Amino acid sequence: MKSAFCAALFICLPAVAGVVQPLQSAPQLLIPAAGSTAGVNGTFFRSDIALANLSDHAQHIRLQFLPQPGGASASASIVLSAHDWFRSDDFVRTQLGVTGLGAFLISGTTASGDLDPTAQLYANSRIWTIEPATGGTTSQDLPAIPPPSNNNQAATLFGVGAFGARFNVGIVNLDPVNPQTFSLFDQSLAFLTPVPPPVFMTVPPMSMEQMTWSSGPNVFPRLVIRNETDAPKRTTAWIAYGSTVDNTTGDAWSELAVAGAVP
Amino acid sequence: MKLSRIIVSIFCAAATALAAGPKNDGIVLPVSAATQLLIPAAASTPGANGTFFRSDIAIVNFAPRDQMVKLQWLPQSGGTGALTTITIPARSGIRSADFVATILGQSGLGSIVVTGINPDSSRDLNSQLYVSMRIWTPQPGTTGTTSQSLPAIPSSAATTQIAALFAVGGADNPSNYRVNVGIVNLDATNAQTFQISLPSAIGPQPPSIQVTIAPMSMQQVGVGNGLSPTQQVLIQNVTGGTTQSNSWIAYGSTIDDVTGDAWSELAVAGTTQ
Repeated sequence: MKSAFCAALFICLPAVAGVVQPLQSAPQLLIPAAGSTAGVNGTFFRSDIALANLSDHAQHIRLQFLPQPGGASASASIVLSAHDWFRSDDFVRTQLGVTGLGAFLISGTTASGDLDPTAQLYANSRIWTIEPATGGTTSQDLPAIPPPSNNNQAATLFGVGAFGARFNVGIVNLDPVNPQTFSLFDQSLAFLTPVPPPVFMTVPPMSMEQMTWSSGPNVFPRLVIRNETDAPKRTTAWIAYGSTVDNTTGDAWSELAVAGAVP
Repeated sequence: MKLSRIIVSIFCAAATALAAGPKNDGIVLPVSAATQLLIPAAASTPGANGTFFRSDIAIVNFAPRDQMVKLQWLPQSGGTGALTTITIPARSGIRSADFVATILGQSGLGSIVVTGINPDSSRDLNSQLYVSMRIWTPQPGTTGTTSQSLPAIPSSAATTQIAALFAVGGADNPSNYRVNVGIVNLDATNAQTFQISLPSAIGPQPPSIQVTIAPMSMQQVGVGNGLSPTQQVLIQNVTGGTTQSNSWIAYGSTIDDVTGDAWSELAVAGTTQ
């Protein structure tokens, strides 16, 4: 049996705020990552999404797919009866008729299409694929959350990374007009000389971008994501997530970045 | 070769404030930071077919001062509870890949209540704690893992008499998946009896399951294989009388029998859909 032990003491970050994340139901929900897209080695990733209307009236619902750059955006409207729900194991393709990877915005609306603040929507989501060698599945959860509207300039991922795993980081930009530029920096490597430079990512309006993070030998990155967009155009409507994937089995887990870290 | 990993790390973070999220008739659950958090399921226990389940847990103290943290182990019914107190430095955290064994010195399946406390052991209402967790096991026959995540939630969110699960059935091939329902009873004094039912609009109603859970403990119950993707699961506290408590939560855990792929869902409180 192989056993590994690591202990490390890291330097401090100042200041975090707004780290409580509401998870389950709201008038509007964001699923940070969803898709219907081919992966490597015969995999095909789909989003298994359950959507419920918990209110006691029929609810108009707008579904918006916010694609990665170059992908096709799409939207559709549905009506869900009072206290009704449905579930699809390939929600993006069957409900919106599109493929690719992106974020998914679910909004309760009035009949005229305005946001309905009384809507009570619940969504449960995971991304899954058949594992070609076994016929079974691998999957990972990402919580549906109310869309961030007041995120601080920076956010941090704490629980990502593992031995024998790769780590992806995704950012969703909900600004309807302005692209946003983010720096990504592994704070746990700040003691190195020279300090590794940050990586920059620009995300178009109403879009998401995911990249694979390379931390070299550091398998437990503590990634600080900071919105570097010039102040007049900088939005607080963004969110980041981390996705760790075991290279051997495809086992995967996700974490939402804790908003408010301000190094 | 089986791969076992034990990681304990201390890292630093920070916080100036914790903002409450929007709430919607008590259905929205804040899950990240609070003065007291419940980890619904944690483990250090062997499973079937050579698996061994451990909890990878990170706890972060966002306060600008050292924080005493009480860790209360709530075992499955029949187990013995335990208390551990640790101190996390200001704006720092601890992470262990086998938290239950390494930090708590326990084994088995249970829940953990994480509470910020003062030096006199009273609850520190100014503490700012964040928890990230998952349960994982080496996958026998490979050098990789399988795992599932469950959010840590403020224990104050446990305030319901009935709750529902929506997405526990296997989506692609239901017969390949087994479903467990876990219930945590946070009542400090009274055992609680719960009914787990599978409502059906067509055909006969499957028999419900009743389970009684001791105070400050948890129980995980197998609901079986082959639940439809659209099968709802209702969990209701049927204790009755003056000892009935709303201080409980439930979760569903679905596992692929082929790969060990698994996912979890917290029961949505207060809905009878």
